[in-house]
Amino acid sequence: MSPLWAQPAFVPVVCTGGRPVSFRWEQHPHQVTRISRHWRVHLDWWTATELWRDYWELATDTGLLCVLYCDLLTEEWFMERVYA
Amino acid sequence: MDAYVELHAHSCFSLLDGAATCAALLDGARDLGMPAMGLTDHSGLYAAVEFALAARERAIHPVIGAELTLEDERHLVLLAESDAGYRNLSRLISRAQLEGTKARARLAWRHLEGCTEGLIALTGCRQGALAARILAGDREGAARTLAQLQELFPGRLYVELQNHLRPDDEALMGALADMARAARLPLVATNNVHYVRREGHRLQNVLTAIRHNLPLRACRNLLYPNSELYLKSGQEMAALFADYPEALVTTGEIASRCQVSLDFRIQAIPPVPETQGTPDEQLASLCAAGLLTRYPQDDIAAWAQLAHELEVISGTKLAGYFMLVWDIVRWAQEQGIQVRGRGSAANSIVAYLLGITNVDPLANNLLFERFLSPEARVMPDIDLDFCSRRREEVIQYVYDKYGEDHVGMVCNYVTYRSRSAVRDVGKALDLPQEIIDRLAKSKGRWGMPAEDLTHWQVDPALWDLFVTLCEEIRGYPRHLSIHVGGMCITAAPLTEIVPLERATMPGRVVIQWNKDNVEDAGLIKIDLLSLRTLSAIDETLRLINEFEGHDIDLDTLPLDDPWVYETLRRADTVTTFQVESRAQQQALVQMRPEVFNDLAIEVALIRPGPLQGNMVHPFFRRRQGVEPVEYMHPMLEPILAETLGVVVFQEQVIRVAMAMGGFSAGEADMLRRAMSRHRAEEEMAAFRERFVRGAMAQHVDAAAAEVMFNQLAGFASYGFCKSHAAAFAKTAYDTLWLRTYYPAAWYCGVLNNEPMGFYQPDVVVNDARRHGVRILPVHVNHSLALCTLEEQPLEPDQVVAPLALRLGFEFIAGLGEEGARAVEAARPAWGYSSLDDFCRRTRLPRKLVERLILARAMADWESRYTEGRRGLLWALGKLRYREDALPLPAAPDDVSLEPMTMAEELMFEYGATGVSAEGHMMELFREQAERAGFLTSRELDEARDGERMRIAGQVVVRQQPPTAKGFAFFTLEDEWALMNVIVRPQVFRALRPVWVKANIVGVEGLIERARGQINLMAERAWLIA
Repeated sequence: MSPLWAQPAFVPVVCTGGRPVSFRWEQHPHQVTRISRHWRVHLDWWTATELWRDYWELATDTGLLCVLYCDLLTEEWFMERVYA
Repeated sequence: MDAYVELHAHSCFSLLDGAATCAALLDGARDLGMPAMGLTDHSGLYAAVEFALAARERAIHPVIGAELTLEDERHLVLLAESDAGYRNLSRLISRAQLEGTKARARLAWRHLEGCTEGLIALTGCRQGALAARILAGDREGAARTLAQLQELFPGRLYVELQNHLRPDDEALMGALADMARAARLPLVATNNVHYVRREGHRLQNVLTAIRHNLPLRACRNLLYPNSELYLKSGQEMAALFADYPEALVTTGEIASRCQVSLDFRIQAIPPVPETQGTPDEQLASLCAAGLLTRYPQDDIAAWAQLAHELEVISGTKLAGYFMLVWDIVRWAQEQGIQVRGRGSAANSIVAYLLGITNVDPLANNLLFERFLSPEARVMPDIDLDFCSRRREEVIQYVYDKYGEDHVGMVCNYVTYRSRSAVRDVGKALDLPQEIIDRLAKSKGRWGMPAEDLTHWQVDPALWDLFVTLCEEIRGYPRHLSIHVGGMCITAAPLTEIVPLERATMPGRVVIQWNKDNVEDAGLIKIDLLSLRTLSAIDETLRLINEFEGHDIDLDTLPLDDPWVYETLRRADTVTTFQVESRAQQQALVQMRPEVFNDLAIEVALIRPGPLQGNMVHPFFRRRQGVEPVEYMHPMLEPILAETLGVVVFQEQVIRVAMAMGGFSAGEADMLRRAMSRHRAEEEMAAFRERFVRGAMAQHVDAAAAEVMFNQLAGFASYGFCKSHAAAFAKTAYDTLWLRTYYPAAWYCGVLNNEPMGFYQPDVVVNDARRHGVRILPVHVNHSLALCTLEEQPLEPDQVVAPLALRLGFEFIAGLGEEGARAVEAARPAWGYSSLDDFCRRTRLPRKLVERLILARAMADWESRYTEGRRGLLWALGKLRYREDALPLPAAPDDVSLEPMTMAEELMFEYGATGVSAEGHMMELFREQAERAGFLTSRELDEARDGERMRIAGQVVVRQQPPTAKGFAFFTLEDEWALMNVIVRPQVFRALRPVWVKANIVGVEGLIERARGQINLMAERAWLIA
């Protein structure tokens, strides 16, 4: 099972050309080594909870496999899921 | 072409899916530097012509295609590589549309066989036959599909890649690319564009919700998951297809391959089958014969005009078109079907000589160039009005003669307007139904006070979205309907030119183009319109012939009858064509027509264009000598002299453009067309610049030229052409002439063709009575379904038996045509003998028999009962005729009833028929009105200007035109005449319930008497009934 954060956790991310390169998670720096998938959603724009996000499924040099997303409305990054 | 070209784009003609107009798509493409662009609407070529023209205007190469849905719900994108490919595409879409159900076109795979020449296929989106199978994990099926497509489109198949940043897009692209590589097929990248900019996804989502008739919240699974279907730049696409750069290069290659002309002129005009010689020769010969009939004095000017027109017609290769229209008119005339040409065709002496129109273009100083000029890029327009009862016969004739494959009805695009936008967008956004209803019914736009939003608990942000989306959706097509009479006739099979599809009306088929598309494509369109007035004329002429033995040819009627003009000057025009409305009547009094041309001006003047352009009052002031006739420049005098310096006709726009702006005739007509079709601002700016430059070259001041151009532009969109006004004026004249000399026949013709015109049948009946026609009530033994004429006994001093008008059964509320025919059919030769006999034979529902009694249709039997009509009703109540056919025992009874009063009789007659043969509704209220000091139309006629007065009458017309700034106009009728009442906005608001609801109203106010008009300016009003 992979933990999915009910309340997505804020993550500071460094990007190049819009792609995540490195980030800090649980006090540790992580370098992105591989992006396996990237997708985008834009939903519920007519509500107060409009969703416009870029999702990145990636692996890091520390062996972390996770899904980060960037909220394109605020340009903030969050951890969505960490694969065990 | 090296740059990226979008080849898969949907416009708003992908109905309720695409969220961009053609112009917006192409503007977007131009801004991104795309040299070409493809249009691929769902199962349609609705926008093909518009797109191609708009693309060429922007120096963008258009690629015409469509996205078809196959029988297995899979999509396939087809692009026309050549004219042959376009023809095949049109054929395939027609098959899909006609074999599928309405708005659900589906093409069988087998129909692709043998029909793919000249077509390039892209494998489509995720719903494409290939991608869908890969996504379903069916690699073998996908391979089979690819092989099948390869066989169908040898050398013309491309594997389509799309990357909308969905989770599985990368994987799907990889699989597609692998298959393409294995099959040695090229890749092509597209973005399946549905809107121009990202924010367009909101409207696209709303359209999807509307299509599924669901609010947005309930159709999340039906929406695209993101907003990536916008028009992307080559740079953005390069980033998305970094692993497949060749797929981008291919787009330009495909665009270069696609070369379609969309020029259908050569195949446009079918020959009239049984004629011989070239169309030019046939036309010249027919016209020469016609000239000797129309101008027996061998008019030199007519010959000269004919020679000029024949030369232009020959040069534009339109002789066949005239022959075709001539053929239809000739056939209709041979069948005795009333037909009249109108519109700009009446500018042509050729049309006059062929009998297509009946207005002499020379006598009326009409301008041929408004109809046709050597520079014309589009087909001229000929509109034909037919007797409404027999138009179907004419349409059938055209189908039979030219073949169902060559004839099609033109469609209309029903587009979003404020009200429909409010309803559909409001529903998609889940706004409270009460708000939607309130906004949809309101006349204004979608303003809503903040407190109301709070009351209805609407989030202001959602409200802003709603307003924006309503604005955006305005003008988008929602669905198709049939044009009122436009028929497209082609030499080549129609399906090779434009797809056909099912109309909403069962069994009817329309082409996918509206009249503008047809015109732009250079196709033949003839408007076969239905005009009830012609039916009324037809019936009147038949009655005159039957009862008076006169065979009248309206074409030969002199247009100078003094009685007709006298009647016009009195504005006594109820039931006449075009000049019976209240606005026309008021204008007639000011116009005081003396000659036919005055009538043509009158018809053209009381129109939205001249009214909004503030041209009407200056014209009348000049006509009455109150203000001097002035011209902006002396060169305009010869053009505008006949309308006293005011622009009234479209032809004058052309002539002014020629005289002042130095335009050629063709250029000037192009200007007029551009103005009337609300063309793009850039196009108008170019014309303006050209006009001002031309005027300055002739030493006209630039500012004056600007003012003149603005006047022309403001006018041209709504103005009539003079030929059209003259054609309508001729019909108006004819109707008034018939009413003047044969009133009984005329009113009978009118009543039998209702609804037509401005007034309800009761006003027509009252008007007939005012013109000396005796009206006879419905009678079970004398009436037919429709109204009829009856000869009345000769009075001692009469030579000819007067004619009375007998009301028909159709006036009995609820009886309907079927019931009316049933009463007619069941009637024995000797007539019904009694109420029992009538009921036994007709077995009509009791309620209808009761109405017949109340309508006085059984008045002959009333004397058999001591209580008269009430006795008949009582007897009806006791009959059990539905159950017992024979006999009908009606046991004697000793109930005592009061006979009806006159007022009761009148009221019941109105209730049963909506009219009264002899009385007027006001008679019921006259005593009451007199007691309250209300006067009559007779006294109003004598009133002085400024006098305070009270009048009462039945409301027969209520008007509150949007252009009248809140003023309302009422026409009241009493026993003797019509009366005009004007209500100021504040008076209307203060007494709104009275003005809106009253059937009989009393009004107090001041008399305004000016230039022959009498109006009561209302200050107070009372609801009498």
